[in-house]
Amino acid sequence: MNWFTFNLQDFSVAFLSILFEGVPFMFIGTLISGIIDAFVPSETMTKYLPRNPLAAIALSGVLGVAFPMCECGVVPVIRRMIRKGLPVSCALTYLLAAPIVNPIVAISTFAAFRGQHPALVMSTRVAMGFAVALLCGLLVHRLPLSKVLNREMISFPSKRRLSLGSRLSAQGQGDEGSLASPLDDPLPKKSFWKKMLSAVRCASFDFLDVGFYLVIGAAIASVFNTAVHRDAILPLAQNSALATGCMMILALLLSLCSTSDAFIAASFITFPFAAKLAFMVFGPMMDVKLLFMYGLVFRKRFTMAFALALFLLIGTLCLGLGYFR
Amino acid sequence: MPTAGRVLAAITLAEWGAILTYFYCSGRLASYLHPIFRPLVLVTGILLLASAGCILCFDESCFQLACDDVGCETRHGKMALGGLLSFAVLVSPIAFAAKISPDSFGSGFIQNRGVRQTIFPAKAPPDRWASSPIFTRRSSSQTLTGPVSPGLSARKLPGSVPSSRQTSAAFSTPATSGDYRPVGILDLMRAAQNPVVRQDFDGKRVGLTGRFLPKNANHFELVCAFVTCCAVDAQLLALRVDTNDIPLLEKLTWTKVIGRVTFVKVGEDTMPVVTAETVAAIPAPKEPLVYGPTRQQLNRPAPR
Repeated sequence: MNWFTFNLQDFSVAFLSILFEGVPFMFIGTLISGIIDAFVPSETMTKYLPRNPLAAIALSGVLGVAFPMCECGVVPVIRRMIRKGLPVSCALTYLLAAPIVNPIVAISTFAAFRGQHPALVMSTRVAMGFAVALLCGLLVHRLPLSKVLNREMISFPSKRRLSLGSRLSAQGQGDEGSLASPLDDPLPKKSFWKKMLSAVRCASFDFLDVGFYLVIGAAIASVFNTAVHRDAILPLAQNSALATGCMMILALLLSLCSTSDAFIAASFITFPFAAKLAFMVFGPMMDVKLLFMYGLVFRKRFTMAFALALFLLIGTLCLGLGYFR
Repeated sequence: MPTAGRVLAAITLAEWGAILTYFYCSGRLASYLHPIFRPLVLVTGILLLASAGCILCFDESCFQLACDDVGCETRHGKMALGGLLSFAVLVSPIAFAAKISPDSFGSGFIQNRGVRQTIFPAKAPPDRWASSPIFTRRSSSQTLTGPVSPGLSARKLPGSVPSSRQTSAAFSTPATSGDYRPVGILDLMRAAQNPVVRQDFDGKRVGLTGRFLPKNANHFELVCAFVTCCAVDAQLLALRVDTNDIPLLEKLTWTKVIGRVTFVKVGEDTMPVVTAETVAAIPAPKEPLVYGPTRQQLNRPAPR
């Protein structure tokens, strides 16, 4: 058996079908992200956070439902939020949860798994994404900022001192909960149409940024889908642990947008549920493009350790769930 | 005067918008995507074209609000090598793929993906049809172990549909056309899993279309792609067609076969076999992919 036979025409069909399926969902995501950027001041997020750290972190995870963002759009926004005073633990929770718990991803997951227990897959993905984000938020809450944030973020000059951050600190939840208070820079007063134009521009550039990685991811996925003989990967699918690990590595390499990755996962019919779930939970939280983008906010050492911890945590959870299912 | 970065961004958005809109309007999209996703492609295409216009036409000052963002410095990158690289990656592959794509998979894909001659494991109850398209893989070396029809078991399996009349409606098999009943490959494979429905088809003259895949001197397969969402998740279904005289058709040509259906036992599974009376090449249909029925369609009451 020849396990690899590449055909350019088959590749082009698979490549286009992934793009045609993923692009509309990605575009909707970036459009909403642009609208949030233009219309929702960052204070809106920080103002209503509860004083209790657990509640604040949990709420940050839930914010992903109300303020949906895909993983590419969320990094710059989080960077801004941290600078404006959002505690890092809350920011990280939102960063990890938003690409998974948001309604667009939930709908696309449901659509992708039509005929493969879509409601179960969708709800498990959302619940596990939220749980992992919450755990990570609580973990980071115990760490000093100097071990988490990069030098540029740490040295960012704050205009005014802590409100929420100091509130959290005062309750003894880590002395460096946030960098600063929300700055006194609400969105400039502009007409609705100017804000809409800004939103369109933001969405367009987000779309191009994310599209770049989608094209690369779709190309890799298409090669895998058309050129590799399915019998060659069947042995991987037989072993749950091996399949789960491989699918997470694949998610890391493919760097797919969370709005379209479910369609790729669903195409791996022979792989066990745990492996597909791990692919869909790990991918939006950590992939090659995110490794670079996280560098804008976090220390390199933290990012690498965080990636490894996520791999182990999600792998274990998915395998456990697959075992009891 | 728009900057080079804005011009390139607008070109990229316009190209993507144009490709999406073109594929929808030309009907080529039918070879790639489930119908429920197609309107989204059109809407996205139009919005991308509009976004390209906005980026290009409106003055930079209109966008100042967004550029106050922290993310601007990284996301809305300046026209450096990175920008050009992004432009090349975004523009070239999709245009190239749109140009060369034949809108259907070739034999290499079929070989790598493998075909399925039955759907659902033999022990799966028929009530799973609506929710779980689990396909059984079958290697070509497996042999037929003998006909099941006409003496097949008509006992009712748990969850099976109550009457053959209702079942026929559930499969949406239209009334006979001329002297044969037009059916799909998927219909016959589903029918093979249910004794009651099998009786409906057994020995009947049917007409079906698929892609021609020669096997040996006295039989070939009709192949169709069963799709849940898009072509990349296609499951290839192959229906065995017996014939005395194998037609001289090119591999994977769209073909119409008229013949009689029988059902044969293969291990624990039952699969349909058509004995061909006429085989003819036809143009590719407008809807080349096969989609599964929704739960609502399956549960639809039979017309009186």
